[in-house]
Amino acid sequence: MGLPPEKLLTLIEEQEGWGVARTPDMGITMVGPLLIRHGSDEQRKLYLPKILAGEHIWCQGYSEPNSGSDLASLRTEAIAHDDHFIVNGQKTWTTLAQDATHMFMLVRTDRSAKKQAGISFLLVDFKSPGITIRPIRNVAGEEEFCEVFFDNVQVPLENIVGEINAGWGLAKALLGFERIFFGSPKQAQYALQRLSALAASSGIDRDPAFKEKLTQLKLDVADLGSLYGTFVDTLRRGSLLGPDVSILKIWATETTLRIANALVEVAGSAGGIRPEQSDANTIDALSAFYSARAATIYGGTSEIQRNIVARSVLSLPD
Amino acid sequence: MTQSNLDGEIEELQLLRESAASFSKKSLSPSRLRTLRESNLSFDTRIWKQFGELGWCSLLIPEKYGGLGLSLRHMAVILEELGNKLLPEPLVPVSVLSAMVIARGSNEALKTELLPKLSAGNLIAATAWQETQWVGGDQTSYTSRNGSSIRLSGTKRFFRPGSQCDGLIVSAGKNDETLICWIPSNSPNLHLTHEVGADGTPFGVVTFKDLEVSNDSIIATGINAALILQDSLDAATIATSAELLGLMQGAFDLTLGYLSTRTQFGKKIGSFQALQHRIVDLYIQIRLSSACVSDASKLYSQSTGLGTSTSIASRAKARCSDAALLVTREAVQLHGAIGFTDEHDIGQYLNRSFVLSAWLGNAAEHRRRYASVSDDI
Repeated sequence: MGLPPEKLLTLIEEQEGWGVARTPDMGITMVGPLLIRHGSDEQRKLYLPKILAGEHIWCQGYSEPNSGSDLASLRTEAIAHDDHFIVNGQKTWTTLAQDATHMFMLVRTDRSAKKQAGISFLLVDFKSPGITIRPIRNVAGEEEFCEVFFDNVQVPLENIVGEINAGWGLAKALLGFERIFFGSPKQAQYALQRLSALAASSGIDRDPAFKEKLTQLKLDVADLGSLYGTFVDTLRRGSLLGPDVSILKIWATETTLRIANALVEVAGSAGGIRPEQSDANTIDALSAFYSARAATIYGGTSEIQRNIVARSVLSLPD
Repeated sequence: MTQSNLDGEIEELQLLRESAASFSKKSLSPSRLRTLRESNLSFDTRIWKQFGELGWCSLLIPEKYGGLGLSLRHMAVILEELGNKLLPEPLVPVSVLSAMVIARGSNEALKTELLPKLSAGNLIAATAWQETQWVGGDQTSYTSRNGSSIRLSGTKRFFRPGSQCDGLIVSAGKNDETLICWIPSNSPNLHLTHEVGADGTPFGVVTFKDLEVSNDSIIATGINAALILQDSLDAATIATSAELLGLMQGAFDLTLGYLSTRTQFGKKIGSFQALQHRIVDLYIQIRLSSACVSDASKLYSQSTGLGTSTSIASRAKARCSDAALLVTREAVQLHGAIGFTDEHDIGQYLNRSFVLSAWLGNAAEHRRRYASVSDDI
């Protein structure tokens, strides 16, 4: 559709506001823009139409068992051999890999270089032999992410995006955009809607102590909206997002978690029941909690985001 | 460094901001609060005179009466920059609250008499509307009308400035019996005194016993008066939030500087992660406050009717009051013992934040008001 960033945000926000499940859209939000800016002509010709047609579904291969917050320490290797790489290693927490056709991943292409300096951005077709995908069950009972094992997987040399060993910079460029998605107020608003509804149906909305708590949460969400607006304005002006976008993820996800905590509290005994089904009569407090609980961890933990702000925004000493 | 997201600010506001920032840097200083306290003055009349010359006293007054006829957005930007170095001068009480009440009233003769003087910075007018410690408490003052005059009895507290006023705007009654009038300070039977604020600036107290006020001095009556007062208070609430925003930014900058220079255990204390995370959380509150003040002043400036900004005014004041108290409290903690001395500037920020966060309704009061006026999500 050629949507500019702020319109894409609007589309996603509207969906989130109604609790519409996110489609596996990494192709649209991450790979597409990356290839448009940094890909080769061949890569653009090959992949962009398939992303638009929904034929290729992309997943993100960044984290590894020993490389979470310290992503630059990643060890999955791609060693050049004639006209292809041989890839060996393991990715983890790969969201919806079981539904994907392709993966964009960060691999080590130079073991001797300093951490970030030896990383490349690689595109992999899941049809390649040697790839094993193993879904991981989370505490909510859902299999939303996977381990992905690479055993001597052959990947063509031209599947590198940008320059070899320059992958870290590309990954960083994508992170800013990711963080504004995490900072959208819609998830918090949706959770707040559910909290208000549950409070009304249980009658606890008349309790003054609850009202005070609910009001604070409403204000936190309204102010999140104002803050989010300042970042959208930045995009609208055609400027790039700075490292201060991290504050958005911190505030949005932690506010949603506070709302989810309140939801569990208001649910009373139903706050101890597993959300197996969702129908109009079931009080499902835990879904909101589980999704909120993960949000302060993925996409850079709240602690890492604070480190980023301290270092890159406030210039505090090491 | 710690500035709010200013890149997108329209040019007109940017220029005003630069002008106020440069004035602030040159002429204002947190230590002035100490000096004023020692000399028993509530503000520096020379600084006020400069505000008059710069047009800042007249910013919100219609051009017809010698004002600039600009908006709350403009005033908010100035207040943010001046608040950064602490501002004992009563720009909000006089040039926002009092100016707006008089300007919206229906007494043309009084407007012609008072507004040009207010514009020039030659009149200090305080609005005395509050009576109890809780904003929104019932009016206990009552009036008895008698032909060409009224008689006022009651007590007003918490008005600013608490001294050096040329006159008071006083409200009495409520709902359709509301009345707002002008009382010069030299009126007989006016008992004026003050309470000392945490930062040394006075909060006024006035008692009237059967004080006669002529009809000529009535600014507005009835439900219209109630609306004028409410809406002007909303504007002053947003303006105070802007001043609080500047205050918290000033305190934050001082603290960040301290963390980056103070060495203990062979390291800059700003390298300790626990302190880094703590100060990041303060930064987040400041950014929230900034976005909030910006939206509030913009919405107020675009509103077409009285009383439509109550919700966002409460949102802004709740956020900024809590944030300023948090930032200044933490700032003292992060400075260690020196932060608790009167000599250090950071303590002036703390005390000033008590004054501004409490005035016109603190965070808790505004949360309650927000709950009662806002639609459910």
